[in-house]
Amino acid sequence: MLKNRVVSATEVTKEYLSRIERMNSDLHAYLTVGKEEAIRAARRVDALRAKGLPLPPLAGIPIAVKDNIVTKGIRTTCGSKMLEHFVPDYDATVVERLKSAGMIVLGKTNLDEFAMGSTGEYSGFENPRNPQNHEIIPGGSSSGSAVAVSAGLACVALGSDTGGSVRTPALCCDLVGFKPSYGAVSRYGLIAFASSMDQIGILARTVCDVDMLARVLFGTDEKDATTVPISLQREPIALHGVTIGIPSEYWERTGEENQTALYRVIECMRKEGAVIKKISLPTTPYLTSIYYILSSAEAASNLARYDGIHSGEARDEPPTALRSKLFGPEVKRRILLGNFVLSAGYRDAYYERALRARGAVIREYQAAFEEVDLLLTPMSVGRVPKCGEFIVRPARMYDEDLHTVAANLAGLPAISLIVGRKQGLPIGAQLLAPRFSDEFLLQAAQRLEICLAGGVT
Amino acid sequence: MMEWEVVVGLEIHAELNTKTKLFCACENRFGGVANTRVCPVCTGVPGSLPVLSRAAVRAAIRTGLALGCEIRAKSQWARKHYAYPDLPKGYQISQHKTPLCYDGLVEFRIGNEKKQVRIRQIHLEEDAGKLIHEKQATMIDYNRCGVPLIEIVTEPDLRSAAEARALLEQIRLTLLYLGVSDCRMQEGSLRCDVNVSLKKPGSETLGPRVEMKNINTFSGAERAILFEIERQTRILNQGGTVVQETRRWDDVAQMSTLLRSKENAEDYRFFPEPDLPMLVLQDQERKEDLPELPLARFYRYREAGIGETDATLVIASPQMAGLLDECMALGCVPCTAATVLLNLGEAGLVLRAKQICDVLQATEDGIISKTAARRVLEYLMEHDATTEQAITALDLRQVGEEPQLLEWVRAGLLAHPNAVSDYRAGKKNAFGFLTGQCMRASEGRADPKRLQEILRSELDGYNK
Repeated sequence: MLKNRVVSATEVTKEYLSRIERMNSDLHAYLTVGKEEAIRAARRVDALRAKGLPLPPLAGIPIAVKDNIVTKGIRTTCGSKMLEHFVPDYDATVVERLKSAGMIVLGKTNLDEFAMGSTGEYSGFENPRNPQNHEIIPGGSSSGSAVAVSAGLACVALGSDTGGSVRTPALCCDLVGFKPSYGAVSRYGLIAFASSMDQIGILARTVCDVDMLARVLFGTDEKDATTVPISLQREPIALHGVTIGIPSEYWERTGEENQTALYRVIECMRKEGAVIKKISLPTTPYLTSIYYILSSAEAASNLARYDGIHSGEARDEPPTALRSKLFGPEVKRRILLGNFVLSAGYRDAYYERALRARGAVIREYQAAFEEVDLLLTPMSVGRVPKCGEFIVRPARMYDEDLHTVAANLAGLPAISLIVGRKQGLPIGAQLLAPRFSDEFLLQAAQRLEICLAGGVT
Repeated sequence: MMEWEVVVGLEIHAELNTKTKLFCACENRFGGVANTRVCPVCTGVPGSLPVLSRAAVRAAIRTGLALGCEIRAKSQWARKHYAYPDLPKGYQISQHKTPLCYDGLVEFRIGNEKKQVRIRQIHLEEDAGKLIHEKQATMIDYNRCGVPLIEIVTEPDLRSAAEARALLEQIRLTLLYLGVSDCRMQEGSLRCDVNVSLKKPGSETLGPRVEMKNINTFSGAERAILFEIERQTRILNQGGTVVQETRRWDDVAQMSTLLRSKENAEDYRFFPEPDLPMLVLQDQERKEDLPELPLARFYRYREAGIGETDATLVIASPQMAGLLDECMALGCVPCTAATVLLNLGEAGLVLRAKQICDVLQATEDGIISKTAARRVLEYLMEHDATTEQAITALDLRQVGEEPQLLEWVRAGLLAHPNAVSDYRAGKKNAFGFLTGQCMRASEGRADPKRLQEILRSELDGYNK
């Protein structure tokens, strides 16, 4: 629409900004809105168009950015009181790429504090609310990003995914959630949670939107030594002859509604000519334990720098008092857990063991992908939880991550799609591909999306 | 009183003189206005990531090879956690299980003996910032934060404070000759911790070791070790046991105090650094052509006839040694050239080898006297000229003609009649005095031998 001059970028941006003004105080999707910068950016796009100059690929498209991604001159809180007043003096690499593509950054979205949480109930500020259904969780940790896209407060959004934090809120808010292969997208400027698992991901309404944005974000970065070149070519891939594996251990650990919805997906895939195969992934029961030991250890390390001395306003309190005051309960739990598993006397039993187990997980999925081309799994254990269900027993919340963490442990690209509804609650499915096969995954997901919508291929 | 065997090991940190810091592009330079050589990476701003400088790796490899080490083909970075204001990330990026270099051997001289010390490992790590204590507050300067350090850890093979000092000096010289560090202890680019323990003579079991920190000079290292030997000896001779602990050396008070007991030892919670891939080195990267190292150079100079003290002194300055080599290549007599260079000192390093050799040759050929030689060299230090030009400019061409010499001798004798009488009276040193005075009269230009012949003949054949 923008290209055809039906509307101007400035009009579009102002429309989104006014929606945000009306709805954000209720939904708490955004923590900071960059009104002036957004309008300026939109005007620049319109000026280019008026001059007849070529426009960058996504010019004028409004995007929301999760508040753990650094934006120059715009407050970046990480959803935490610890960084309540942090205004970075540099842009994350992905933000530079968005701006070069002409996108309009509307603001910074709410999240579970320091990206730790899967329900969206652990923000250091007001928690966001699921716009489709206020009673269920928005999902986390990219809760605000999911709410923003779902409520029409942004066209697409950036999130981050360490154990499912893009895919889970996408499921809860009726969206598509994509986590790239580890190393596909630069982490420079992503405030670290678990450095060996974090990836910046995309929340959008359709796979097509995800795909367009992925092309802008992918690419090596000399400022991030863990990036790897991954190409996204454009030829369409057919699902005919593709083998899709369904891990029995995942299947056994999900409710009936989810299984029923998965049958629908299997039907679609078969119609496309794919071959469905049952496979076994014996590490499945151990995945959440491995994940929580390793990610907490890395988190405790990454958060060691927040001591009130190196950043923030001058304060008289010692670091221990400040950290107790400014970190929320979930962050504290993970720091304590992380330091414990790394401490002398416990490190071999926990950290070292979990590290070796992670190696086993990686090898297991590599072997699986020699038998099958894609993995199809449920997106959750049961139905999407209600707000407050896990506050009393956080460990139960950890168990819910079973289906999502493998992708982070093994660096695999993963995408979650909505495949059904039951009693008004969304039901999702997840596709996993071998590491670096992001293009293949996105193509397969697109085929599936069309098929599920009843489209002809 | 039991005689205990001294066991000493060293942990040496040297700042590498690479252009940039270890994990970011900030300039690596001493001093500067506080917090001007910083960026998000070296100040640990949220969202920043480290990127490895290959130049630092190459410098570490050269050091490892020079110290006889194996170079690891695959080594990993590790996070070392502790809380201190000069460490912005709350951890230091270092190496833990897989140090870059290991199993080395260093030979060094102590007196007339040669000794060997095994090197356990050398690894790379980033430096921390600097705390500046002022009256109202303590300030932090992050200019130094992220500067590349190599940590050299020896096995406990040293057996005395003197040996430790000799090894320290040897390693310092080696690093200077490799050109990897400027090794200035007073600027903090070379630091040393010592580990001291005592054991029963002949026993294989090592006693509990005490680590000492805050050592800022080589002589301080020696003093600290001696103090610690004495302290531990006293404890053991009284039947007590030495406690394994970390102590702080105070060079002013000349004593050490407890810093950390074993119970309060830091738990660094090491784990592999996830932000940096494993450092993988190709075969050709693990080999290097090294410059001639100080010990080899010492023996070469000795073989060339240079005295032990002179050789040691010249080698202490890589520039001077280089200049000496050039002189030797041009055919100078090594020990003469060495003496000249040492006499001129650092100021003489502006001279070119050809100039020095020409002066030495002119002296040998009798064109100028030895005293004149010094003046010529000083002239050349100030003016860009050839030796020929200098000699002419100063009019120092040695005079050997009898008439002129006679003139000077007679002038000298006339000026000092008392000395003449002394000589006649039998006082032999009067001759030396008169020689000196005649040389002065000639402004150093007289050929000393000829002058003395004429002087003697004048004195002896003098007829009042």
